[in-house]
Amino acid sequence: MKNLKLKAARAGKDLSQDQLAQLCNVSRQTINAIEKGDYNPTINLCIAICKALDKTLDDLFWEQ
Amino acid sequence: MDFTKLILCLIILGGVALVCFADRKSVKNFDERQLLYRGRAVTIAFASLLLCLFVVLLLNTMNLAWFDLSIAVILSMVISLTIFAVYAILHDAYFTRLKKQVPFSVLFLVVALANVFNGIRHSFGGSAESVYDIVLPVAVGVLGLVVCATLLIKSRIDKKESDEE
Repeated sequence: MKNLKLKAARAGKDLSQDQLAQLCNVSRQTINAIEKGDYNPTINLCIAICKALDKTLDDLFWEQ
Repeated sequence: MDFTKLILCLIILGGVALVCFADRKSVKNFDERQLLYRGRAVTIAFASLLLCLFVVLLLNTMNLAWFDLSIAVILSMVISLTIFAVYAILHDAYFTRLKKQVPFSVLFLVVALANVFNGIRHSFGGSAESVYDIVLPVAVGVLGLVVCATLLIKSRIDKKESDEE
């Protein structure tokens, strides 16, 4: 399932996938895979993404 | 004592030590998804190697083998290496996250073409001392060409993804 909340949060911060990937120390393709729902990140990466986007885990990764 | 073979053994030993050391150092260069897919690529490559060896030995046992056993084993290894490379490239797990694909695809192309040319030169020039001189360079060349083509296809897919982003 696509993670549209992550994509929206990234766009809200005006960051490209590549820029977010650099902030989280991962490859651009990994961010792309998470947004497309092709990859489930570990909790460590989820936290890194949340810190980079100033969001909580609930904001980005909790399904309503 | 053959010093050439001894030096070759030392180079291989040094290579193994380097790979072990580099692997420990480069863990941070690959992110968690890349490590996952590299693991899967190794598993698939190992399974394909075992499958190839099974076919080779089966044909050999049934006296249907039209090839030398050692060449068949080397070709099996090249096939499994190719499968590893293609799977890892298609899942963005071949290079560390900081390395760019395009310079490496050029490097692979040059090495591949040099190997294929070397094999053809041995084949048609009659300078081959054994069939290894033809089969090995051509196999490595084909591996390089496949890797190069996969890199180019993947870089196009990546570019398309970036544009759509």
